[in-house]
Amino acid sequence: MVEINPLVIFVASIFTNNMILANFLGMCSFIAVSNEIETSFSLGQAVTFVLTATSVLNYLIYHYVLVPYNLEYLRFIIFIIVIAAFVQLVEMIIERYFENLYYSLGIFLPLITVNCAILGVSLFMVIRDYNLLQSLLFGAGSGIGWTLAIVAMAGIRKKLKTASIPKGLEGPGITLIITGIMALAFLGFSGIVKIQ
Amino acid sequence: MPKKKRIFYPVVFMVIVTAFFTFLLAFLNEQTYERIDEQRALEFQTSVLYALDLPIETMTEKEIISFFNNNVEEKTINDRNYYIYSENGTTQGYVFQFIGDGLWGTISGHIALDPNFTQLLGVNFTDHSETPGLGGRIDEIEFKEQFRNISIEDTEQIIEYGTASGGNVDAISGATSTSTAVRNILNNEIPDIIELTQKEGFDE
Amino acid sequence: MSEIKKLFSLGVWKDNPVYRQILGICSALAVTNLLMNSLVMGIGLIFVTAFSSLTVSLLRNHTPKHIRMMIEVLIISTYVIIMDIFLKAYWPEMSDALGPYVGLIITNCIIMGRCEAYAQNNPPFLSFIDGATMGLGYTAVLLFIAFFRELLGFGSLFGIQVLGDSFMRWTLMVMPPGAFFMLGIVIWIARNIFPDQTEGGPVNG
Repeated sequence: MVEINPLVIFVASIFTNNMILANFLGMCSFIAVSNEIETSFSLGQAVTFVLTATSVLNYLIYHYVLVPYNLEYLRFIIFIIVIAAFVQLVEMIIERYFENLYYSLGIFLPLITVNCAILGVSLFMVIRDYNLLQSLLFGAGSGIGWTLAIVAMAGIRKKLKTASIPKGLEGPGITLIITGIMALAFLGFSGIVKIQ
Repeated sequence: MPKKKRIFYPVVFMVIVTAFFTFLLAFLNEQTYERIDEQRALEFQTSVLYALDLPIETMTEKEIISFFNNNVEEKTINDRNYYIYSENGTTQGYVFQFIGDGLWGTISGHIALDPNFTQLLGVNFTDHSETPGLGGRIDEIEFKEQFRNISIEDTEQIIEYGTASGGNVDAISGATSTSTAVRNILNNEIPDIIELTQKEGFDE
Repeated sequence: MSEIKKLFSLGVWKDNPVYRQILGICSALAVTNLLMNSLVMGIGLIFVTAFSSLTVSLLRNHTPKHIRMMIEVLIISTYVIIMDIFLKAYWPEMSDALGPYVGLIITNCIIMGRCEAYAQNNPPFLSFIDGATMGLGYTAVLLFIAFFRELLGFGSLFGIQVLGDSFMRWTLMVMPPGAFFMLGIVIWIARNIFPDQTEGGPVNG
């Protein structure tokens, strides 16, 4: 366990260790969904929720089941199954009890299961040996950081609709270039806090 | 009846497939976990021996492991682990782990001191997140070899950059922050370590 | 034989998972700062995709419809763990260098994509080839990007110094922004060489 203030981890995972801009995780849905601000925000909320919950769940399972029985090598399977099961459960609950939420958010949930950021956060948490509180804030912060990046991108792409972009760059090409510029900007945050 | 069968079959299928693959992985794990543990230990042991300025480049993996097991002993003082290297019964050096702040993340490694605590025998870096090609060059042999046999008797300023102007080590050009971080870590850790060695319970 | 040739040209050129299907982006950005790491990641992905497709195809007539995705995830995870164990035991430095991105192969959309789009509906041998050629296309793009990133950022190729000390290294190329820029440029070039004829996603077998 490292002695880093959990709040520091929270802030750092939003800015200096942003999941997309520094760790390249969650790119596929980032590129696909970031053309609309509304949907980006909805997806971001869903991602944040799932991230926070699964980092806690996976922490508990890893430290109270896998480690004591020397089963660490199974963590990949267990983590992804936990994530898939949790998302499935949430989808069922939302569909039953929160229909409005389901119409805005629900369709994204299957997309989240394969979002590498979710699995990535659980894996990082294990590698960096965070404790429960650190993992919780790491998950929440990573989700917020991811949301921040995708909403910012959506805002920029909205402006881009009226700009003339070379044919081959439209869509994923220009999104990646802009992400690169954003990553450059976020590099400026480095060194403020350290979480690894 | 058909409905029960509909739920029954997928569950059975899932269980069988899961069991099959889990057995496969458990078997593989059985075959390799010793080697994996050994590799991890080897990495650690190599770092300790390198800090002590021992000729690890000429040793095979087996030789490193057996040398470490025969000549290095692990002890603890104030909840901090340290390693005593002795040859033929006489102590030749002490190795401590350190962890401190770098530019991008923490830098950790090993510090080796001579038995009289007058000299720094060497350092090694085991983990860091510094910029590849710049701060990351602290891993390079040329940089690390500078830290051999540096006098630590004057604990005010042990490591000083700029050999042209009287210092004992050269920083990495273009990586001022990381170099400064390393210097600060060493200048802070070494006096702390020396203080620890004077406590009761050290090397008993 | 012609089917294999067709799969090969699709996987590597015409329907390349990275620059055409825009899949597997995360790892394409993360490991391409060094050619050696890209090669290892690529080989790993070929291994996992080919064998996962093979296994999914073998089981396709017995797998119940609604647990099909969970079975696919299980199969993919197993092969990834095999790769992880192998690296940790026999090449620990590479395991450290690739870090969590080995485990993240599980979520690499290419593998799931091929299982769903091809292996579910095609015989085992062809599924194996499809998986392998898609992996090959991925590896090719990775190596291309890594060539530039490592050369400009470190001055080396596969760890061997090529450019002398007087070359001012573009360290930014080996950091995240450089990765994004390079991939964007690669997609741009690819889109110009292979313009959108059938913008209909991956081809089904």
